[in-house]
Amino acid sequence: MATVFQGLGATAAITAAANPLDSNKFLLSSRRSFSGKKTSLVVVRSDGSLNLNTGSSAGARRLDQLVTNAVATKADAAAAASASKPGHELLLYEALREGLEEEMDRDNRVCVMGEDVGHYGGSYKVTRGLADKFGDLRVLDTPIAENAFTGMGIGAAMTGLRPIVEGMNMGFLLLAFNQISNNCGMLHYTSGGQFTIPIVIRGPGGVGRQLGAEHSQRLESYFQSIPGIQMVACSTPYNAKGLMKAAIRSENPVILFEHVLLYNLKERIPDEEYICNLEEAEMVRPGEHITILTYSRMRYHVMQAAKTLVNKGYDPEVIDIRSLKPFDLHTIGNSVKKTHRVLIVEECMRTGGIGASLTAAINENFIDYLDAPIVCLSSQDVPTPYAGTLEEFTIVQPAQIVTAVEQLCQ
Amino acid sequence: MATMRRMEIAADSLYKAKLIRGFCHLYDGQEAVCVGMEASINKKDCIITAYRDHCTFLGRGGTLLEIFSELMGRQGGCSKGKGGSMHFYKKESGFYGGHGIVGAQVPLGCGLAFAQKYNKDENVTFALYGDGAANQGQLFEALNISALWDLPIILVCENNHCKDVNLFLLLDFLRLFFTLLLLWNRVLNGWLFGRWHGHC
Repeated sequence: MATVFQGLGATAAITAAANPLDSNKFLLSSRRSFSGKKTSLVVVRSDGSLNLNTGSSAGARRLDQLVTNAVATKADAAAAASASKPGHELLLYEALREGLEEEMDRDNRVCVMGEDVGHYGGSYKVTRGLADKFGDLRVLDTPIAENAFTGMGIGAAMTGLRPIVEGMNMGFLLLAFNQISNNCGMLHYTSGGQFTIPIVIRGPGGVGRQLGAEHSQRLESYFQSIPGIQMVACSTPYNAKGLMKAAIRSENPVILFEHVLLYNLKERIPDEEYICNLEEAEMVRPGEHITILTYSRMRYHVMQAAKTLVNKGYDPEVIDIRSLKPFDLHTIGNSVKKTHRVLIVEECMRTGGIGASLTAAINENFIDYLDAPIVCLSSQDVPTPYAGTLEEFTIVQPAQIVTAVEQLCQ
Repeated sequence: MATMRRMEIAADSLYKAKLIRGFCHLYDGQEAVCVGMEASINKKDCIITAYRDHCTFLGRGGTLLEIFSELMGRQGGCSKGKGGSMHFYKKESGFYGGHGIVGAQVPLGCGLAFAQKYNKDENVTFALYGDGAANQGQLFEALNISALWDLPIILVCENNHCKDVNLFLLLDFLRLFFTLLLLWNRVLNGWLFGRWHGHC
């Protein structure tokens, strides 16, 4: 059974009974009920505290993780702060598998389809062992026909199944763009609400180690405009499992972005069942001087830079935005109001990336709270080169983050 | 079928009067296909088709009021006016649309059939497509996966020759012309020079 975890620090006032929350509850619940509308509603709470008390779907238990010792290197991500059992250690891909397996146990309608997910166990081992346990129909090996099997997943979702479509690499899902955009995203609307598409589309993306231009794509920037879908990006084993479970339980189509280089991250996660809120950002390191917004692998570059920055006397607040569509403007807004400076660090290209949209969103909503223009550090607008040294130059490195913070905080 | 025919003719008039906007693909002449299909199936079987969906929707239990409301963008339409001519759906009758992109409905149909196989229903899915969609790669992908997983799907190609354009007719004509020219040349050679058996 699940237990609700209490985060530390300022998040104490999160119990359901608190009255100041009631006036906002209606707003919040309408924000949470996605019935084809994807407007991002800025919910600013009257008491100024973080929005912590909304459930995403029926029966969902929300968890807020406030990590205080947040200067983490790639090897040891900070553990969930909780007062209960120590939990168990595992790698990120194992966390994804655990979440997947739990959901498949819980609901017979959940099935997986993708290339090599069955007997091979998944190209990144996320579905290892599941075909033996659940059978070939529930963990379906597909031929190399992304358009067809993504369409098939969407058609199955129309009838009530809850498929998880895996792209072996997110870049391959470009071949299914029509299905994802027109059918997955829009069917709920064009059918006047008759159909929901509770599908999860997931896979590894991002820049890896010399994988070449076509296998190092960041599809979140292409998909972000599609009306009707939700996008989340995981970065730690804890949020990977939580987001996977939440995505499967959601009635909306969710695209879960994983990163090729993060699958072997190790962390201790709770034994109890938990899910993460799909629309919520994660406070990685609270601070005072500047807000650094990031997601996926760049979180680790930011934390590495944070170590240097702390030594130089800066106090950055690091937020892993996690929810790429819609943005958690509540958490972000509160942070901007505190620090008045924003740096966005992302792996998308500068043109039309998540950072570009986030810059626009923050400028539109919080311009009065900014003391400096928003700086967005993104990858270069070039195909990712094969040579390792060149590849490093195209993505944001910790040294650049340090320089940017120093410049912003002058 | 008579109702369907009159409905489509009326829709045509409305479209020309600019009361129906955007696209309006008509099914008059093809009514027998959906009516014949309906005669042998039940509402648990699924039908999915492309944008020529007015009559199929009617056959699945839709009402004329819903159809015309949707075509004219009214709230009483089957998709509340949000879909238009190409997006008719009726979930409770197993009608899954209504799709604007040529051929995209066929993989969806495979999904419907997959769900039927998954749930061990004794039902089938009819995925309709046209002669234009027969060119689409995703159709062949769908054929492949249908055969691979033995899906309970029946793919129905409605060839209304809409794909044919004048260019192909012209090419056919040219081909005919040159064949006749060649024949005439051979006959002439044979008669003038006695070369009835080719070059000698």
